[in-house]
Amino acid sequence: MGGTRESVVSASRCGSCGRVCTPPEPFGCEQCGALPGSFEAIEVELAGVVHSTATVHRHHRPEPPTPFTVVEVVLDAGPALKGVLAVESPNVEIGDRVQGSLQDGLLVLETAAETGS
Amino acid sequence: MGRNPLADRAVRVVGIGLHRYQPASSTPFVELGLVAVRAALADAGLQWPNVEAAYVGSALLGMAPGRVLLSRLGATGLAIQQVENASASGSTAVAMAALEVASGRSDVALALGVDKAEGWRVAPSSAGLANYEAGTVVPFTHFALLAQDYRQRFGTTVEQVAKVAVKNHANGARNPFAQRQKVRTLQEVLADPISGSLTRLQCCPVGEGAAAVLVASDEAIKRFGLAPERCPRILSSVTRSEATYPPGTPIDATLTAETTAKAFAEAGVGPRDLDVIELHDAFSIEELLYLEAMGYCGPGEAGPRLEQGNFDIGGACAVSPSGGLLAMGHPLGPTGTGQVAELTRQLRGEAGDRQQPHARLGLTHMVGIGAVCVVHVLAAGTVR
Repeated sequence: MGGTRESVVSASRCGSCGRVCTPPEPFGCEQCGALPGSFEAIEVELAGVVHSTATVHRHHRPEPPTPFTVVEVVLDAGPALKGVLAVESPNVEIGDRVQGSLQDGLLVLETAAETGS
Repeated sequence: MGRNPLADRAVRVVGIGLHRYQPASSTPFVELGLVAVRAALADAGLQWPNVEAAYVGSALLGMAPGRVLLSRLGATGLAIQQVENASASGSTAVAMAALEVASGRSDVALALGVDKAEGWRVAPSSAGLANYEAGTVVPFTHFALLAQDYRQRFGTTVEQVAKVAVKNHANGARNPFAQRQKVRTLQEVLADPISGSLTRLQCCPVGEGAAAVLVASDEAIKRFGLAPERCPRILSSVTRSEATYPPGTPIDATLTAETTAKAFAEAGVGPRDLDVIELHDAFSIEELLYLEAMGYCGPGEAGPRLEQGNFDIGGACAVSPSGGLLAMGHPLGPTGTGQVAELTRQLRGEAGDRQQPHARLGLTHMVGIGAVCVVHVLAAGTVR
């Protein structure tokens, strides 16, 4: 790979209704219409719970090679995001905890390490 | 809350016509559209100069397809409007034509859906909104994720979801306007995986075609001597768009629930009153999600009910007797007008070997990228 890997990403929190968006919302709050000027710049951890999965067998681009697994995750910080399961990760199921990192702009998820918390 | 204009002045479907849905070809869109409009005029028993306004629904043709097409019927100077609302473009053309007549501005209006699967340009992709998906999540994967979530919640099996496609392919095999006209076994439907449990035959084909719907007032029906029993009434026409929902909410189903609830309220009917439903089954799982969202049955009940034959032609409520998007096809612009054409055929009792017996009340439903949702409720010509 050789690209950048971040497990914490920038986000916006609406100053009016508290809606959290990552990537940060550039135009206005979908939930309440507040202007971006009221948003707070925050950071959120790419960690949460698997909402659904789908293994993709046909893809219109060479990357990533098929089959790959798309994972929908609901972050602890609020937003639901979609990314792909790391090739080396064990399979994940709905309800599993996962952690992710941004690899060249793509969210890559894997089974969360035990934290003891 | 505004009034329902369709309750104030009756609007009825008086003519329908289609060009068969088919894979991309060299046929110009003008030819596709003219076949449908000429068939609709002949079906209605109207002449082209009787049509006062036209709404042309397409998502991919680009600027100004309407007049160049319709002028070949005679350039009468009628009002022509282009309608683009993603997959719901044709449905919105019907909504606008119905409103045109309900308002009293016109007595006869045309809704034409026409499209060719070329030149895709989708505005949300260039809206300046980033995501972390890097192009890995296309529509079939969006619905594969919903399918996995749904099956886990209710214990529905992969086979139960696939049986939606078995039913709709069997219906399409009886529809001369369907792109796919082949009966398929469960084994055939389960072959050729695309994403998650969705297979090739559980994903709709996007091709080309046209579907035309002529709507008119009761005054016009009298003036032109049309047969009222062949003219189903549009009881309600409702459009809504996605609001914000809690993370993990199935967006398309929630939007469907909101839109159909308003359409039922305006029509003064309930989901269990329906004899026929044409819904947005671009992917098999959607049929189960939307039947439950509409309140036709409870959460998790649609799969077992489908297996019992409730949604077959001849069952309690025929769902997508046209073959739906899965078999009739989804050429974008025509899809929504084609649904209204099929429902009209059913409510007239003219659907031949795919006729739902005693069909008196029906609903059409489309979802488009955005998301937007457009629903129409129609009643047979002599009900009210």
